[in-house]
Amino acid sequence: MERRSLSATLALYAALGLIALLMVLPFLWALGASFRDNAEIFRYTRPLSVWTFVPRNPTLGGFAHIFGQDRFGRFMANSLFVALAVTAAGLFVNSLAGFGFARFHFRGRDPLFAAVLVTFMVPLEIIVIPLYIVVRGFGWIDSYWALVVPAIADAFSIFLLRQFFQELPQELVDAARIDGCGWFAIYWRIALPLVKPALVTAGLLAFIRQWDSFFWPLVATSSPEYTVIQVGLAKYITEFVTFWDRLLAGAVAASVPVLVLYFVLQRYYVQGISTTGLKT
Amino acid sequence: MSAKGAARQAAPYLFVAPALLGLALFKFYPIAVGLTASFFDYEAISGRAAWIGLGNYRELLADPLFWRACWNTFLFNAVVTPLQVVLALGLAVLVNRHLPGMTVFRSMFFVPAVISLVVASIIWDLIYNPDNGLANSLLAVVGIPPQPFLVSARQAMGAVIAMVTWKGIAYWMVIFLAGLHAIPGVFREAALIDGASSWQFFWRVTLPLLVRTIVFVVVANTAINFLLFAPMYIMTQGGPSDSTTVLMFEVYRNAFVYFRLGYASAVSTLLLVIMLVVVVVQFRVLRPRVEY
Amino acid sequence: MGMTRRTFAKTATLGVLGAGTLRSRPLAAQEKITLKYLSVARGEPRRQAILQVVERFEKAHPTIKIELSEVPFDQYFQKVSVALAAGSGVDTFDVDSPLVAPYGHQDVLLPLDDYVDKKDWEDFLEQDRQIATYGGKILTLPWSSSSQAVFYNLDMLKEAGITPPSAPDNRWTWAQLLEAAKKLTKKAPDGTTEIYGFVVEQVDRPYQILPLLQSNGAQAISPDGSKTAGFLNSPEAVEALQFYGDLYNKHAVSPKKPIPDAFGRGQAALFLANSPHVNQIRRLFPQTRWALTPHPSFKKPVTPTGAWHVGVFKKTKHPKEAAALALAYSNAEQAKDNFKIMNYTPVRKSTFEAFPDEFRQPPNSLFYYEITKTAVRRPSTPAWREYEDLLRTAIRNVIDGGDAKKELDTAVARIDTVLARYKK
Repeated sequence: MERRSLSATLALYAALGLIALLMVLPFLWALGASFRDNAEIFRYTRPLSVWTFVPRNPTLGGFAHIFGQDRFGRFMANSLFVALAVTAAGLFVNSLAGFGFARFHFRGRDPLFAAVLVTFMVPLEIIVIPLYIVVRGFGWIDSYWALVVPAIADAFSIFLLRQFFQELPQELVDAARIDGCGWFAIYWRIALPLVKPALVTAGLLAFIRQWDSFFWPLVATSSPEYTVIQVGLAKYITEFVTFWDRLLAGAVAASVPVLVLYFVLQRYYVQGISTTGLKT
Repeated sequence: MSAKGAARQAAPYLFVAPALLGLALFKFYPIAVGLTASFFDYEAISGRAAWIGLGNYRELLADPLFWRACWNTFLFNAVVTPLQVVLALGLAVLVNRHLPGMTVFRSMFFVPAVISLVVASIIWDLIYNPDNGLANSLLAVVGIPPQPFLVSARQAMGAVIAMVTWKGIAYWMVIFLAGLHAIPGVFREAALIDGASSWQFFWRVTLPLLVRTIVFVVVANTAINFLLFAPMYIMTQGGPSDSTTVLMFEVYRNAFVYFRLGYASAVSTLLLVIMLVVVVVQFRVLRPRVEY
Repeated sequence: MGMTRRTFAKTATLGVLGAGTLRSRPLAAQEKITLKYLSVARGEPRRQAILQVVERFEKAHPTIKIELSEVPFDQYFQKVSVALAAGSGVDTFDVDSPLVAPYGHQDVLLPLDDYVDKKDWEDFLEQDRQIATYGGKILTLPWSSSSQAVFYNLDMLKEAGITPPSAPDNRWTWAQLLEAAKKLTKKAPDGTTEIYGFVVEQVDRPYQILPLLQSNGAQAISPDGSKTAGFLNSPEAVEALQFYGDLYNKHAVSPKKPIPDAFGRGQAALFLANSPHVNQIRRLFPQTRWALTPHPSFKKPVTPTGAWHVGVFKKTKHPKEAAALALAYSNAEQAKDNFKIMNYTPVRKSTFEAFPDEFRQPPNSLFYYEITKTAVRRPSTPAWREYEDLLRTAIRNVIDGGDAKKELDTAVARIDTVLARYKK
């Protein structure tokens, strides 16, 4: 049992509460705004009142419009498909690479890893034209392939998983080798379960990166059937007017699946009392 | 060499092969092409390109706007990356407990990460509006006069930093939580029984055990922040008076406003070199000192 | 055992990649030509115009299928740039009128002279014909133009006792507008502004501000297009730009950070804006009662103009069909429907004549007057993108409180460096 005074605990909760409020406030404002009509959106921000966050005349108009006429549900489905496909395939491919970089000494390892890191230091703007040409060469322009395949191998995930794979005790690995285990079995049955929180995190963040992706889908697809969320949202900013109620409704709707996903994955972040596999 | 021996030799290569294949096709090759463009006078739309060697680099090193962007980039990154890392780590440690309600806090802290950067920039742009925005409304409650925020050359960079930090903390916090998860609870209990204070425990045990995670967060965050420009693009368009023009903004402007892809590529290459230097230093300084 | 799994995973991954190359499109019964049409996303109801064009065209040409792509406005140029640079992905597309010269210089537009009927070409307004031509060839077909006027809030002006002129000959000078704006600006007790006297549609864009400089007697560029020094930063230009900046700083009648929909929401009294706002405000903010007064002037009236043309990508695989599509969008019949749906100012004399009631009465009569008598198009220069960006930066810095002379001198120096590169 932790020896902690009541006042310390209260102070902790107060601090956490304040920080949580700050973190959540902009989203709360947007959430309230998504239930307002265009004319009301900016009316109650000053002076501060309960109506700043609670809509005076709540309406589902924004949501009705985007899910009805604009088929926003379709965009969400597209993003969901792409994000899940990329995350699933990516977890496998990137964890393999992370394991390889972490547990082996092989010729060319460090230069190769450096090259991997370089790939997230060059912006998409500089590589978009040659990338477009490569993807076009495969015949994937304007299809789900263009959105999924190039995103699977990802330096961010490789790097993250490599760090966690490095933490694994060498004794575990040695013991398994002595038992005659092949490398893939070690990876699959010993290493992966031990880095579960990292896998979950890498997956979650990869999912979010795809969920938020904007410029590449814009360039690589043209048909409306492949529209993803962020491109759909951008269409609410037109030449002469921004449809704020629809834009905010869409932004709020888009955030729900991610929040749900995170909430569901919470248990992987709860500190385990149990130790690692070194129970002696 | 036996077949088994050969398999053992090949093993690491087989592990990294699928990812490297993907990276080779969709990253290495386009990056090579993209960066090579920096040695050309390359008109993106017509495709006309002429070799000019170091011409782009010479031009950009002589441009005062480039140096201004360098300074802004340095300022931005020197503040944002450490701020995000420290705050994210602090938050992760605070909520990494089995106390009632922690799940709720962890979820609330994650909220900034569920909105895309572009949407967040749009929302914060509205929040920072001097006449109509939530920020000044809140300040009014505590008696602070309305601030210009994004329209003031003195405040704009700070305002952007605040927004980017808000977003980044959520993102990096989950990684630290994953890292903390690996530190067994029994260690902490044992240490506390032995009389160590929470702070001592954090400094002497937690931190060293977290080094590899910290390295990841610092390096990845550095790369991401050096390449960040959407908030500046949306909220300030690089102003006021170029105070928020960072190098990546110059890359974007030259690539997609002026269509001078060669010049944009040169700026990007220099940015890459700067990043690599910073990252190498980070790897050196943060080398893991504890093996267990 | 371990080997099998690893090999399987590897093969699966490669299979995923390989399958992509083997994917084939199902062939239609007759070989259909697909045309890719890139358009700016205009939202409802204005996008109905292009949908109509597509529908009519496909009906008239059963062997042609149109793939329409509506791209968000802010990202439109990026998307087009990548498509043009990569050499595919677009056949017919929206061209922002000042980009005809840069695209022409970069040689990415298909000359349309062979497809255009000479008599029909004369139906277009002189200005628009000029914009669409570069290097002696017709490179685009105009389908929309623009004009501006000042929208004013009837109730606010009545309360302040101000009656703006309605006839263009009587138009306000900028000094007069400033006086009115000062009277109309209202501050809240806490120091923020409740109502701004004057707001502008495109706060820092040269489209909006260049006419002010030109109205004061300045020129956008030298007649031969080789430099801006002495033209864009002439004393007249500096004076006009400084006046504009003072609106935001010295007089504080305009907000330094634009307020979304300020006029419609009743947070601004005077609103200098484009003609489509007529329908926009009617639709979105019906409670706001307004009328129009002409664009103010310094010495001689100058109004902005130019909007969208349609062009054909030079490297298209189907030049005839793509040109036919461009013609379908811009022909005289479609132009009338375009006007009804989108409300851009027309580019054809026949369109103006087809709606005599509209153009002989306010508000559109005013726009007709401006388009034909006071409109000055943006300079036709291959360096337009750089010119616009650099001038925009200068304008923005002046709004933020900078000195007009210093900003224009800086912009002019940089623009002239760029122009020198294009001369080579």
